Amino acid sequence: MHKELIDYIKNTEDDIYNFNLGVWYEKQSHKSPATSFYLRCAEITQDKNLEYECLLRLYLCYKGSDRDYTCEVFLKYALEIDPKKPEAYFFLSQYYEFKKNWFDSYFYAHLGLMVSDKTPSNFKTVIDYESEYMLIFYKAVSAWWIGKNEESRMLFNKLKDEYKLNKFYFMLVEKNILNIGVGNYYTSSIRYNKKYDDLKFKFEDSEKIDKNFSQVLQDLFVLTALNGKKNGTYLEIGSGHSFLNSNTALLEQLGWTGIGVERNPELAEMHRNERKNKILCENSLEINYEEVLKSNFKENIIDYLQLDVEPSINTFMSMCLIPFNDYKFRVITYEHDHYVDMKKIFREKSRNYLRGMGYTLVFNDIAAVQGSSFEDWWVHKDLIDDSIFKNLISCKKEDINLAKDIMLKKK
Amino acid sequence: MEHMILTQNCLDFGCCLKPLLVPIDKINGPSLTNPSVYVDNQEILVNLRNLNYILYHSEKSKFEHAWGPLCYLHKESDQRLVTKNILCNLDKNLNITSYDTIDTFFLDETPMWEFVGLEDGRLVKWENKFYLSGVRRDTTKNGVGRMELSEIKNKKNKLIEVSRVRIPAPEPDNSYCEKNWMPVLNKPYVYIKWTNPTEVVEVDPINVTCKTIKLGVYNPSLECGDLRGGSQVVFINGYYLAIVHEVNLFQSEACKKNSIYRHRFVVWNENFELIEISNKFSFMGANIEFCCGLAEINESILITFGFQDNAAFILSIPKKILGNWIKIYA
Repeated sequence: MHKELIDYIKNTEDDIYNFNLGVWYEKQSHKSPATSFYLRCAEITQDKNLEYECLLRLYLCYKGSDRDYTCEVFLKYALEIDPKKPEAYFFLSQYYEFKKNWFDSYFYAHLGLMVSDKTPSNFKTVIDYESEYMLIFYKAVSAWWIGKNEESRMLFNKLKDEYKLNKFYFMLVEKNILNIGVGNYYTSSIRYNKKYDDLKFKFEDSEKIDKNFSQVLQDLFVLTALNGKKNGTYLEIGSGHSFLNSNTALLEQLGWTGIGVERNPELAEMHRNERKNKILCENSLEINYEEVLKSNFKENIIDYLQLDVEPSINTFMSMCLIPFNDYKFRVITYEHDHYVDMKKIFREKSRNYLRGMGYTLVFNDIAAVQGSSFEDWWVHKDLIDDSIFKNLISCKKEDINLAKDIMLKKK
Repeated sequence: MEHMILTQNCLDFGCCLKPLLVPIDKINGPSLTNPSVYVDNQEILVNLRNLNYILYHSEKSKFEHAWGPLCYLHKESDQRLVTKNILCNLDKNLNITSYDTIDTFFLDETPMWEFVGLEDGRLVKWENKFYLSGVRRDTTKNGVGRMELSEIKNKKNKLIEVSRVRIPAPEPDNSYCEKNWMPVLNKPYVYIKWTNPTEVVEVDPINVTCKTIKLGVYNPSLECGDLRGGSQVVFINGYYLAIVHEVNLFQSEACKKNSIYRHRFVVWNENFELIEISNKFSFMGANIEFCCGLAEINESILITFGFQDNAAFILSIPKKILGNWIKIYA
């Protein structure tokens, strides 16, 4: 006879002995008998904390067994016992999220954040509630589906920036941030319009440019670094739309040639139809860059390299495939997407890598708006004009660089 | 305490209590309960009732379910309450060494009622054939229950129900539900159908008939409730012994059903005259427990019982302490 059973037999009305026997059955993966002893314990005990824990364990025993209404009953009983504890709110929010009942999921997560003390209770068994970030997570998820999209984005970013998440939630937050995008605010663009703006850095024939295409003036930065070069060359990894936010559309109009890489077949097709220069519709992680560069460029110095393949890891891994020992680039724009990089490692990795290859970071953490720094701008000091290099470096700031502050001044 | 807790009462007398479990991923539903034990030449066999539902019993009505203090929690996508039966072999330490779900495929018909399968099957070996004898309620649209006799054979290492006899009630066969008849192990096809007054019936499985062969008189001197059936009837030291149950069925103030089961040892003489009834007891202190297994092995008695329809146990007690509860064995 095992101890839990002997203890129980000795005093069948003892709350702890009932509880322990329930735990023993749960450990054997037999949840049905466990429910009997947890319920007996919940009804016997005078300890409110244990009573609450029993109801959570009852919920966990029934969870996923196609007895949903019963699950709700236990969690609501738990809430009734102690509305200050966060666990029942969390499980209710999670439960309704699973059922795609977004309003109730949002409601209980919100209520949990407003009413409970949010700190995990001191239980005898493991209850998978770690901290308030779990309530915030379900609030963020459900907010999205009830039209509170900006609140959802804000909450996911809060989770990313302010909480230490466990592996599972880390993965979920990362996935959600990638799926829901960054919203209108974070994807703002900064464009040059000759009517309203002046360029801070003048370059040859800069006065002939009326508008640019890049999201945050990258095309104008390339032209600045290369003093308005005509007929330059580029390798554009992650081409995107043929014109909207394109870093190479303006260059092409100035006679540049080059090759783009775009995995999305529709975007690649659009590129073929609307642009002159070549595009490869391939996964940037599966390309033999030596062959591509060899067959498309006569010289081993290329004027511009764009790296922009989401997520951050893919941009970095794509860069690592480029034969930097055989080819050099005068200017590089590298999109590290640090603001959505959950691991916060690829910005530093890319910087170490490019520094090791002899490049100089001219402008770091370029952003359209505060809080969304996503790109670094690099040059090869030996391959651009020294006076231009010094001029650019003199404007360098260590913190976030808003593109408009770097490149533009109001008329 | 208004009743004795049997396991507690025999804890100091060398008893052994074991939960009966088989791996959850090998069975057809969450609950294993109401086991029935049978000893065949020192080999311990147990039938486990495997349910697709979980019984919910708020004994103190503190956390009643929305459907009441006592309810069957089936899957929301399947309202049936299904029983399968699993036959197990146990070693001398009462650990399960092998098990197999009894395959009833060849005799099953489309169920017509929500209680499906053979319930509370008692293991019995008559004329060298193994049977499970329990109640089935799925053959009519209104849930009429009759005892059945299902022969179980091992064919190519697979347990198969090879025949099924639905036992009529003794004439007039018009009752709604017949259940918990207690098979008399040493008298083939004989059952004690009711305890007080004792009614003994004999079944002819070939011609599918049933007749009352003894009807005792109600003994008002035996102060007890409405005694129903329970375990098999085992002949021990010159007397027939069984464990029966009595039920207090009642309703909560909100008219929701509730019940309390209690149990008693019952002794008959060789002529099936009721001679002693023990005080009432529970097995482990719950209000819903059920016993449909009793067997003798060497100097011990084996008792199998279910706990709230959610758990199954086997209890071994030294035969010599039966006298603690039944004077005739003292």
